[in-house]
Amino acid sequence: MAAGSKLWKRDTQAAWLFLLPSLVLFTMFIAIPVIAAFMISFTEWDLFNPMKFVGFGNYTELFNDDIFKKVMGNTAYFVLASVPLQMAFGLAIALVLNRNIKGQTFFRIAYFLPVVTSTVAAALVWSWLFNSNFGIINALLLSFGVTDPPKWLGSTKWAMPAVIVVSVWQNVGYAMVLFLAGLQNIRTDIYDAAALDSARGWKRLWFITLPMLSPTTFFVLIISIIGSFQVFELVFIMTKAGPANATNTLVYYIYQNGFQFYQMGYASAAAMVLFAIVLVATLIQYRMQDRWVHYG
Amino acid sequence: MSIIKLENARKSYGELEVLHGANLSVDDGEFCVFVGPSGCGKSTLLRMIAGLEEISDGNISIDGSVVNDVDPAERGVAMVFQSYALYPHMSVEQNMGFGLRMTGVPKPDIVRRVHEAAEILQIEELLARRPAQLSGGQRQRVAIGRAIVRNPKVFLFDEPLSNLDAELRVQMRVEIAKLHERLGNTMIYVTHDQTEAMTLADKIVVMRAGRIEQVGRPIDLYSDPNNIFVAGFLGSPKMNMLSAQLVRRNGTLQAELAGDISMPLPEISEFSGNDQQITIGIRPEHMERQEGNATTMELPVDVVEELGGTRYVYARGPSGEQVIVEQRGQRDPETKTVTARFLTDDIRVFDADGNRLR
Repeated sequence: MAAGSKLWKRDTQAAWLFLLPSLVLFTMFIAIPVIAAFMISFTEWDLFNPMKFVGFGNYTELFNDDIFKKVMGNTAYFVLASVPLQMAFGLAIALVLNRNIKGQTFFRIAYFLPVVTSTVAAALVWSWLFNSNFGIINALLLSFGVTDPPKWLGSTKWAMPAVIVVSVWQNVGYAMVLFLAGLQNIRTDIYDAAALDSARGWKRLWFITLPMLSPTTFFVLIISIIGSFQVFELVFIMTKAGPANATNTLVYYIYQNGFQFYQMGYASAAAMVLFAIVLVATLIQYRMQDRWVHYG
Repeated sequence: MSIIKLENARKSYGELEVLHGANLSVDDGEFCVFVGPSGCGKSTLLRMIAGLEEISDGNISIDGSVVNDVDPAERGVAMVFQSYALYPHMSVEQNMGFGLRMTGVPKPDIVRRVHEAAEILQIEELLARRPAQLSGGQRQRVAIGRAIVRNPKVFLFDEPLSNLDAELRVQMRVEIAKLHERLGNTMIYVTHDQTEAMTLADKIVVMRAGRIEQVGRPIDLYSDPNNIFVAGFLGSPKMNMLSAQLVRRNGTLQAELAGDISMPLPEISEFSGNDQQITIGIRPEHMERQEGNATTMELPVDVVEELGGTRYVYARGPSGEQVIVEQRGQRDPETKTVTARFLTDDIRVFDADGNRLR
């Protein structure tokens, strides 16, 4: 027993040693800032003058803030459009590329490239593509006979769809890679059994492939939702939240309040709201997974 | 009447031919076992019959019509996979009924047929469970049940017992035999285990390196093998093989072994001259004949395996080859030598290429 507990002690020490580097980083750059932001959200602070405790003042102000309501609506619009599109296209491309087609590797790399491309660079290029006077998109639309093409980033109606298109373009490769890995994890004997059971084509996709892929789908869904709630760079580069806040989303609004208006307390409160939304969304997903996610 | 017919069936992957023209006919209601070492092409042949692998050349017919290009689901076959291949996201009941559901069978019929099959296999209490909640043996039953539900002309079994532990394997083997008795369908069964082949088959197909070596009733293959491979593959422990020279002396055929040992051989019509290099094969259970005019050899003993009723004596033959003598009853445990006594009729003679000389 004595020798055993000594060994246990040594193992525990080794475990702490291995955990230490990431623990230090996590504490410094995640835990402390999160706690600090939580505290700051109950204050009024402009970075220069001393903090002033205001209780739930920032939160009540947020829920009466018309811009914040618009921002919430925009964020919901963005998430609800970009997540399903990313996933649908990612899955479709993965299904095609999972077959033994020519140039498979080339296409896999091509579709994944946007994921590793600098968002800022990509957003700049897309801004030019969407430019209503000189952009290639409107040039094409005109040549196809569209007489009055949208003003895209300059239009309150079309700016958000344009941002969504770029976001889907950028993230579809990530979903594709995950779906491809998921597809390749499906055992071929299951497909053999399905072939003997007359499950072909769409039937096979619906009754076999999709259910077998559900753990991957679940993971992609969670990751995409969290990622979409945090959209920032695209908005920052392409529209600066305009026109008339048409593309202002939660993280951008937090940035605006914190670093343009120097309302740290208010920005922190908005950040807490974002945190709560993502947390609740993820919890709901976890609760729902019993109904549709099947692990091996 | 033959229900499955293979005519020069070939399979190649690009340049590599893995099945070199198989000819076989399986009768209706027959239990046919493909047996051979791994990589011999037996599973490939089974998958070709199922339609899961395309046939590169030749013909496969089921029930009188060529099915080379017929979809697996339309061939009237059902398959039980080595890995069970159950759908993990479906209950046992859904797994078993899936094929019927896909072909549009009305729901009440599906329920009835699934329950009938579940009753046969005694898995009714498992119907609501998921495959992950079942043991290996239970999964295997469900996989068999899924095949039964489809009421196929032919059952195909691809090494169905190799993922089970030894005890369960014997138990399931008996159950599969009973199932065949009860259903009377044609069954084709792939295994690398010669015991399964011997015990289950009406007809054994021994395969090696993409070729069918011999086809026949288990006992015929066992006692009258066409070549050294079939002789060695069937039977446990293996047939003893001794190298020798074939000579005819004073009108009788003799085998001359190392150490000036010679023995009479059964008559061979294909005798092609003295000093032909041969291998003689004698099964371990024929190495201690009490009766008749036996040949005897005194051999040094390496190891003795005591199994209670039976003992296997591992001895060394005249050229140092391993010779197993199966003994019954109590013997001296400290024995250093063993006397092999065997009859001329028990000897099988093979030429230098391993073909049987008859």
